[in-house]
Amino acid sequence: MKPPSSLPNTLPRPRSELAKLKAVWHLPSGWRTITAVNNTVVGYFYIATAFLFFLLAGILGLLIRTQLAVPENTFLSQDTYNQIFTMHGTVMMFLFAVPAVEAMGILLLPQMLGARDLPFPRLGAFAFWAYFVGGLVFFSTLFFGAAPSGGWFMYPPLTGMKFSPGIGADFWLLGIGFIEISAIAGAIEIIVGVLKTRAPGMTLTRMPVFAWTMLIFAGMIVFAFPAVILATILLELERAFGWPFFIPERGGDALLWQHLFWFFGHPEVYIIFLPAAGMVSMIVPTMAGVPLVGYRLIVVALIATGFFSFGLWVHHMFTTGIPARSLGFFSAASMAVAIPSGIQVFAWIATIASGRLKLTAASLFVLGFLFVFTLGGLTGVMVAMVPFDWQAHDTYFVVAHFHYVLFGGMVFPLFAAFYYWAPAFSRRQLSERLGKWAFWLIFIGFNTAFLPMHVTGLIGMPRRVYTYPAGLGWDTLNMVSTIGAFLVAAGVLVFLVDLVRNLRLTNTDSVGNVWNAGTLEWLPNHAFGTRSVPFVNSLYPIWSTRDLARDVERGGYFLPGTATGSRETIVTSAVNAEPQYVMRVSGPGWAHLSAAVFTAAFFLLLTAKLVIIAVACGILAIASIFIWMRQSDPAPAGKAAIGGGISLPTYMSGPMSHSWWAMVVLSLVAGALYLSYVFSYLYLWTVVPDVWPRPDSLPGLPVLAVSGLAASAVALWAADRCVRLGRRGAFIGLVAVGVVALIASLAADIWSQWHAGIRPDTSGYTAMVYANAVLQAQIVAAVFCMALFAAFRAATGRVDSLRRVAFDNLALFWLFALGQGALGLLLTHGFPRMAAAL
Amino acid sequence: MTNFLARLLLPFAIWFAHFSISYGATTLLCSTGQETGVHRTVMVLATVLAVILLIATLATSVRVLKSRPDRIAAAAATGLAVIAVIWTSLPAVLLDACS
Ligand code: HEM
Ligand SMILES: [Cu+2]
Repeated sequence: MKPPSSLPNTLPRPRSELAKLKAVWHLPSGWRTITAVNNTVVGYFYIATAFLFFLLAGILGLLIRTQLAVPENTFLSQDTYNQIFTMHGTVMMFLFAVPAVEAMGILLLPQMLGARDLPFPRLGAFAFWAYFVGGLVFFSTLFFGAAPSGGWFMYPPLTGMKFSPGIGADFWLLGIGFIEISAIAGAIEIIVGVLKTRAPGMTLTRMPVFAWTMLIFAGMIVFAFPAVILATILLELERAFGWPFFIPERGGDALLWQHLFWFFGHPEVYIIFLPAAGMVSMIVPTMAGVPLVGYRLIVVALIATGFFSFGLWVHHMFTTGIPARSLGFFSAASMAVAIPSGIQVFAWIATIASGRLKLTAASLFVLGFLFVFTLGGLTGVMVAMVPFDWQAHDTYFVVAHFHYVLFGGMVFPLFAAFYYWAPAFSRRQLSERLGKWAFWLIFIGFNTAFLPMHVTGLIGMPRRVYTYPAGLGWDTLNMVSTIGAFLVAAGVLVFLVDLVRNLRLTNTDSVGNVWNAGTLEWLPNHAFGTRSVPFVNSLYPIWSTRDLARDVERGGYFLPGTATGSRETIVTSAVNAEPQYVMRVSGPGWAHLSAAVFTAAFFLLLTAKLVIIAVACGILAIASIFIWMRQSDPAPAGKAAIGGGISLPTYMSGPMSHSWWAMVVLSLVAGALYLSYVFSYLYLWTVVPDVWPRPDSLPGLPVLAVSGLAASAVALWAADRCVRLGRRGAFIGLVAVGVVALIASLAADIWSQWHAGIRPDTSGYTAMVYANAVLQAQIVAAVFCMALFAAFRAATGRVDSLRRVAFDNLALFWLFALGQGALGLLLTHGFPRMAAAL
Repeated sequence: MTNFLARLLLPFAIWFAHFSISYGATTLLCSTGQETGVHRTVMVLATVLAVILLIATLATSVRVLKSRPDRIAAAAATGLAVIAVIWTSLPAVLLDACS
């Protein structure tokens, strides 16, 4: 798109325009604030909650350090200690780190991209509330002595029924599985937001690095989280029904868990780190007063890191007795990933060197990050060497290493971000003086606590021990570590004082661009984002366009009011950011809120084995989602002029529309989940091929199941034609037939397996066969709900050849169900026959 | 422009394919009891193929991409992917894989 030669909208704007914009984006007040969906409000809630969990898990860290301060301490019992370190790690990783960066994305991205809001505000709010309720309940298990105690990576057999008969492990499996669903919801929101709601002119190469990192972050969540979700499903099936996926003596394999967990767990480290690197890439240029050096190289490095991090997972398993080929493979890959990280560090240093760095609190935290994270990277290369890892594994050396990486790579940048961005959202700046105090306390405290741990580990202290005997040379080092931990706490306390004294969140009159930054989030902001949507002609539009802030605020740029009388944002093309249509986004409501609460209740009650109430909550959750969906399916409303002679449609279906993108991403998530399953199936076969059946004990060829899928496919195709031709009755009938055929196909397959005498709890193989059915049943259930919704919309005349999003969404997922069903049949019926022939 | 993103992703997609295929193939060959020689040949072939593919995509990228910074970025992506491909396959070729 060419830059407009003059302002797209004439000035001055009529008075009523702003008043109307304000009215449409009005924030609910009082206790109704919880129904708000504006990205800023949800962003505040989200960050506050994540920070709360940081404090809570931090307190657990202090408890750990207090217990370990002196030898043979009796401050905590062994079992309590186990729960506390498990909760510390789990809460830090799942309830603090991932949500905190997701929250920063939700808060900053629309502002930074020049959108009025994210494309699915209620989905973002849903993700937050699900996390809020689920997280709090999960944390409170600690107060009842019912918290998990198997370590944050929950290895079976320790976490199997035999060795962890209590309810704690189930809380971990269902609670964390559920919180991951919330993270995925947020990721879908972020992907579609970054790709489709950028301001006109903001091509991918003019997109701020933070947005790049959030895009990669969300993309990695899509592919990594399903692996651990599958793992939790399998382990929960094993615990609840005795399907022996991970029990070696019954034809399972305990290492399968480790593969699945770390296929998620290693990328997780980068999922946490990359957005932090994105924040640093925003802060450094501003504080140095020069553009980022090597923008494109940084983007390449970020993408490389994202990809390579999927090829490293086995380096967490070097001591499990895996074959030499795996050792070599993953050791080498682990070292290769250091290269792109190095590129980033050098680019930041070059930027600092090419400008003049103002030594603000934010800059200090960035420098602290560079120092601490680099040290963590160096010890990372050390433990990537197999012989070294054999010595250091499961000692305090590793505890030191990953705190340097996690605390350095994520907590320092986060504090830098707080000091840097606070003026954009607060009436008052945070105090530079307190900020510097906080920095030095945290920096010195952190190194005092964790530097000695390298030594403690090398002289032999294992991690996860609740106490140790005196006289092994560990005493002083542990005492020093404990003192350091309390120094960190003191620094965090200073920061809290600063927040209380100075943070005054606002949606109208923030201090604004105190650092003279160049990116869009520093334009004057309101509940509706900027008054008008700017045209972006460079990486730093505020630096490159004269009077941008003034003209944007006066309404001279695009869409200065509301075109349809509801909340809107401009949708642009994914790469070149050409305006495509004006999308209506939803406002405050209750449905997504009750959906979140009931979904959380469903999972938690299920854990407590209160099945009937759980199912009731599940039904209420689905009903809430129905209401929510009904409210977010607006009718086409003609064209909207956004200025500069551009007139855009206000309704879109098909590959250009935001909902299509969201469904595609959702299908990718489901696909990744299923691929993890295929991997597990094949992996288990390589370990225990003996439990795979001979062809003669298999059920016959799945003729019935295949015909069911085929019939369903034909119905889908015909239903699509009916939508085009506007045949409402036939459409509903075809959808019904198609979904019934889909269900029948699954039922036929389960029946044939059962009939052939195959029972899920016999061996790893039979458990895998039924796991396939479980996964397919999930997808079919989703298709069923979506079909019900589409049929309902059609019955009330709200699906036709133009207004067809409800059907398009169904069709995409339906197609996915057909594909997965076919693949499943191929795997469960075809593979054993093929393997027998090998 | 559309090409730019594709050109950045392509080298890493090739790396990923090489990674999955060589890891999968060695696992499969070792667990079905093939001798090391077979596996070594497969690894060398896969690696040579991946590197050729990478260089070929870079050649086309340089032609398709108009601006110099974009070309440099594509070259950097290819470079990283080549290093990663060779680096990961070295131990698998040099070590006795199935032990
Ligand atoms: C003041 C801050 C912190 C202190 C004092 C602290 C202290 C500790 C200690 C002593 C352990 C080892 C416990 C044991 O093995 O018995 C530990 C484990 C762990 N920490 Fe921290 N930590 C802090 C911050 C963090 C942060 C910010 C993160 C992540 C973002 C984190 C993630 C973890 C994880 C994942 C474990 C492993 C838990 C397990 O073994 O299952 N910690 N922490
Ligand atoms: Cu790792």
